[in-house]
Amino acid sequence: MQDLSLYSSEKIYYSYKLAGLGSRFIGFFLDTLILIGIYAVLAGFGAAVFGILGDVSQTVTFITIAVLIIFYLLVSFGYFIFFETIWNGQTPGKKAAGLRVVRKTGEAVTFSSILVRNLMRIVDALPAGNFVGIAAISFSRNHQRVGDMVADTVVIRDDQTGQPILFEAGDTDPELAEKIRPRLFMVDEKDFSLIREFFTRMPYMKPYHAAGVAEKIAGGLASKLEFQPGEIKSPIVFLKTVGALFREK
Amino acid sequence: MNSQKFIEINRETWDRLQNILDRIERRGVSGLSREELESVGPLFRRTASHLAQAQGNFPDVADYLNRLVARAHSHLYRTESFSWRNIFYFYTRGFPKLVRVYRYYFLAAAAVLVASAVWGAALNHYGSGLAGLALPEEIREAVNQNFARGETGVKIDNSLKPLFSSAIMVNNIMVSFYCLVLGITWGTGTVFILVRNGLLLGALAEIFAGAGLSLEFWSLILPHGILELFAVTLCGGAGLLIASAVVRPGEYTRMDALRLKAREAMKIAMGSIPILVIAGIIEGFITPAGISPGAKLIFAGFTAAAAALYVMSGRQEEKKGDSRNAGPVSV
Repeated sequence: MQDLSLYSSEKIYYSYKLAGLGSRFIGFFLDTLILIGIYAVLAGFGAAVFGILGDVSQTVTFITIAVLIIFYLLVSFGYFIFFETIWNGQTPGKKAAGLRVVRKTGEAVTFSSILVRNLMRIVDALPAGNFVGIAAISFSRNHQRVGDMVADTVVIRDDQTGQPILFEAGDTDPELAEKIRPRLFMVDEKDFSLIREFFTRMPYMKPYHAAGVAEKIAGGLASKLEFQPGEIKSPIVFLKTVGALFREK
Repeated sequence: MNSQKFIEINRETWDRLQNILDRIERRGVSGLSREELESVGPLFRRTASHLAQAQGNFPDVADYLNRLVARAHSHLYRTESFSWRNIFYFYTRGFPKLVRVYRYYFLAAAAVLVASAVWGAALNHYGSGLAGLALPEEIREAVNQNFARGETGVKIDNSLKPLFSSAIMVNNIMVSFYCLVLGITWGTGTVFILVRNGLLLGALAEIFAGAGLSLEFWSLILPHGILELFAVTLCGGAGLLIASAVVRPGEYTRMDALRLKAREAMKIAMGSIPILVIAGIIEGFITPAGISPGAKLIFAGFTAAAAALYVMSGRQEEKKGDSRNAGPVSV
């Protein structure tokens, strides 16, 4: 995954994770499904008018069709513009796929950027099957489609922020800690980031999966630290203890 | 200090910021209480400085803080927001000013239209083999058959009017959009669409003139056509504006020039949509109405005067201030 690094106005260096073709496709696909749903409702509404009123006069028929045509145009462009405006760069599909549109300078999208990037969908859809857009996202530096380039926007991953991992006193095992302390020099930065990564993701994992993964990591680490196979009783406590000790170092 | 301590000390700050962000995401900035609103700035700055600290000293927290700061940044920093007042300002002031500023592009688009109309008329008049280019054979035959029956074509059944009106409106809006965005093809797409429409208009006018029906023809075209051609010229001009960025970027790179010009071009397109909507309504209801051709031409005159007044109002606006900043939809 590629990053877009920026300086905030506080002159702090931070970065966004840019969304790639895959996640953007998922977002677009979901939005398309919703749009098809809306079109189906529109068509159903038309059918209902004819169905309920039965043999309606021509005037009613054509007024209905006229209204439907206008709604079609409004919906197909308005959907993206409306949601990106009220949800700060997200549509329902983007939200589900964990994406957000921001200005390339890191600010919230503006209404005019939203207009530009969505009207330019016409160009990105050329010549068929969104070919231009897909090519542009694949090859441009910041994974932008033509509409993004013109509007100066990027699509970023807007995942859960998560929590910083704290190894609290209650979670660690003082007895075990005493055993680990002399061997702590064998733990390196890589092991620690593995532990940290695991605990970052643990809240989002199913419990039995988490237990399995914890056992694997703890098993590897334990043999590296020359523990006997039966010596580690709870893998999660072991990992937390190692993490806390390493941080203290 | 180790990162464990660092987290313990500052965690409350981050949690508070995160809660506020959650609320903004759910209910928007207006959903915040007064205290939250007042605290969000300091909280963000504190967290941002923690990020800087963590990048140097506590790499294991830096990723979390980066995500928090990035997320906050994309919510808290914005240069403009949507408002109806801005939209109103754009249509009354900003748009006429834009038209004034880029008038040469619109004149160029109009010139292309007129020249191709003349060309279409000439092709048709001299019975050139290329006349089929201007006017497809089927249309020509249909028109001629109507002449033979003594009709002049457009007689829309009352019940059909709304359908025609909206279908035409949608079609014109799409044509205008294409005219605009195809400017990116070095202007060839834009010019192609302009020429095709011009040829068609010229050829049709020549056929009706040949049959001695010019008055009928123009009374059928102009009531809505003035506004329609006006809007197509605007979008064509906007397309040429985009093309100018690609063809002759000047001191900018092509990409930067495109960014600058495309924004202005899009504003012009947004400005011309209501014009097309009005034209579509006229085309559905007034053009086929059973009033005399003369009255229709007078009506056409009114639309022309209204369009001219609208554009002229841009002249005073231009004198007032910076032409680059056309207001609301400004960047």
